[in-house]
Amino acid sequence: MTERLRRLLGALLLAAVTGPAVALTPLEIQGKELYFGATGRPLKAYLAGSSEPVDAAAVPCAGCHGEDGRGRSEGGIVPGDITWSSLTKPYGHSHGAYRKHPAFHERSLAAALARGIDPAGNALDPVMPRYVLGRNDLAALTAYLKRIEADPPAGVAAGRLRLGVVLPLAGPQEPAGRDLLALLSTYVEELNGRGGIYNRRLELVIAEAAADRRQTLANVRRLISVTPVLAVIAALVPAHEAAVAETLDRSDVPLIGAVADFPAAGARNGFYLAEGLPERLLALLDRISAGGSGSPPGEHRDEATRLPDRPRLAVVHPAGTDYRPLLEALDAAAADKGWPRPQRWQNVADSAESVADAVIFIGSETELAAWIAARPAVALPPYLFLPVGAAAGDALFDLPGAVADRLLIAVPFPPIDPAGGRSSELSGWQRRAGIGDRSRYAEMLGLGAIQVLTEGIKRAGADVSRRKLVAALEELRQFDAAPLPSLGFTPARHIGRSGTAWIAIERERRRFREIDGAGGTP
Amino acid sequence: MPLPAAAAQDADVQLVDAPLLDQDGNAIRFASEAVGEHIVAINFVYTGCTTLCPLTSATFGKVQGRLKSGPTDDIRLISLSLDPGTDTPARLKDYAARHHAGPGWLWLTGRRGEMEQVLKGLGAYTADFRNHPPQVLVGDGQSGQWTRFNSLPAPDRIRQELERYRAARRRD
Repeated sequence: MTERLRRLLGALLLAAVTGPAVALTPLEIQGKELYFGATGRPLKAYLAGSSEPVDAAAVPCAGCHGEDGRGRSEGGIVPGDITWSSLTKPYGHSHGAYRKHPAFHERSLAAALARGIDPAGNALDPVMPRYVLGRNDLAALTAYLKRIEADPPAGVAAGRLRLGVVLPLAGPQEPAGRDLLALLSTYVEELNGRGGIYNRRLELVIAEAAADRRQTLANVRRLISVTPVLAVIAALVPAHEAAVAETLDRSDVPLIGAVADFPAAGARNGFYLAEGLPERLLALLDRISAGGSGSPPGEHRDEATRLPDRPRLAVVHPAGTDYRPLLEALDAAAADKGWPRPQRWQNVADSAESVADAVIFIGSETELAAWIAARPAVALPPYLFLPVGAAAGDALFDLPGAVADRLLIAVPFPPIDPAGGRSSELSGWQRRAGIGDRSRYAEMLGLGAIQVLTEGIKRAGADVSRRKLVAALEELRQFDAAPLPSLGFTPARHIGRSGTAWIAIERERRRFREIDGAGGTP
Repeated sequence: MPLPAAAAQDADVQLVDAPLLDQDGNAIRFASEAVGEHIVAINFVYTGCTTLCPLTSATFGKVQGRLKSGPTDDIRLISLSLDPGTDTPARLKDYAARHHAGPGWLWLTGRRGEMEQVLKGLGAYTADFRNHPPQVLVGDGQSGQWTRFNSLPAPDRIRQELERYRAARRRD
């Protein structure tokens, strides 16, 4: 660990243990849970004219009156400002020409909630539900309404914004995790040096992506409530990515997941820079069936070694049910093309006995190297395909020549040409962060992710909240996240860029070569 | 104090037979398949809406709860998306699950132009979907008779109207 990184880590840990300036009291926290419909307890509400209760959590205060209590009109209804200072204005309120009432106090608030009447005894707007609250819940909700104006959105305070980072800090992915942390910390430090965003300093809170799923999720949950963050970057979550994404989405925490094998299609708060593994796998099959372009990865091949028209594929895949739908999609796509059903090789022994024209390897490049090393000394199939999300580390250059020459890698973004302009963008950051080139691809993605996130925060405005950040990201179009190509999102599509880049290995020069043009479209 | 009753009036609607998608991503034509021969209640929602839509959805949830106790093959609930650009089937499915929507309740979206035709036919199109007035339609796909509520009717009121259409069929 470099001295610089040690210093940065010290600052980060400090940031993680200092809480908000004045914490909410337990009663206020209980009130806040009521306000947002997050108590987890069954509470009843009655809709206008209905004698049957509905679940109060389905129609929480925050839905209409907003996370700040100020109300905002929608669909022709105008929910009131229910911050305590507004409710208790001494001269009361007039709602249009028809309804006037004096200031609220605690008793009249209780009557409004339970019976739907204002302090003058007028009926409230019929869309305001009536809530059945016990004495304690009522006291808690009242306490929170008195506090709501001084309760900034999660992760936001007067002088700072807190962002979560999920990273592996042990195991095979540790080097990439450390490099990425140094890079993100440097990015944030430089941004803060220029005044931060709207005069708020950014702070990173680290949650370790551990090998153990339960531990990882426990770490991630701390970002939701214990040291709440505005949003989370998960640029590199080797395992449990789906569980991490789901946990955050359920709590409405925005997630910038750089690259995931399976981006959550229905996620409301999750954003991904690129498509997942299924799209890359299908693109690979299309490439193979397109004939000419399905041919040689390595540069030492000739037409004689082209794949047959009906190639016998084998897929080496990790154990576990996560990959089953993917394998079924692969079978269906092969059947569509009239190819034999791809063989499934789960372990090295399978591969010794079976014959295939091409192997699709699902896993990281280190797993590929391990599989090759453990394989019995039988001839390799002529083609090896590696459809990965975040890989292409230097380990690939150390593969045996026979493997490297057979290998075609499918990645969501083209690699950086060391001679090209986009390279200087990355190498500048690497130099300032004091990190090397060993995790180049992960660094590219991390840099893309933090730029997307900080741009979203800027566009969300000074009164940013988790919800406003999601809305701002959904409007991000053609955003230049150098060194990545431009990308963007829409409300219906939280995938920044489509398409696949194809790369082969040039072992002698220890570099990647992109095959036929730039990959991906925004 | 009594709450204002939801005003109901006979409605003149055009059912457009546009190809839409349900919450599972299945193709379904609006007039011939979604409405078909059913007695239906239709509301209008979008998943990004936190004010009115949760109320209308909770209301339909209550209607659904009561219908479960009787034969429901002839009755359907339909929620139409006002924001098809955002509301993918997956998003609608997630939203439907939050309101415990069961089998006889369809959540429909589609291409923007086609949704617009469907909504215009029902008299429910607004240029700015965020400012859609609350509205519920109840009607019979067989007889072509429809009732419009220009407000948020209570679950019991929607149920009564569905039952009224069912009774009318028995009389015929």
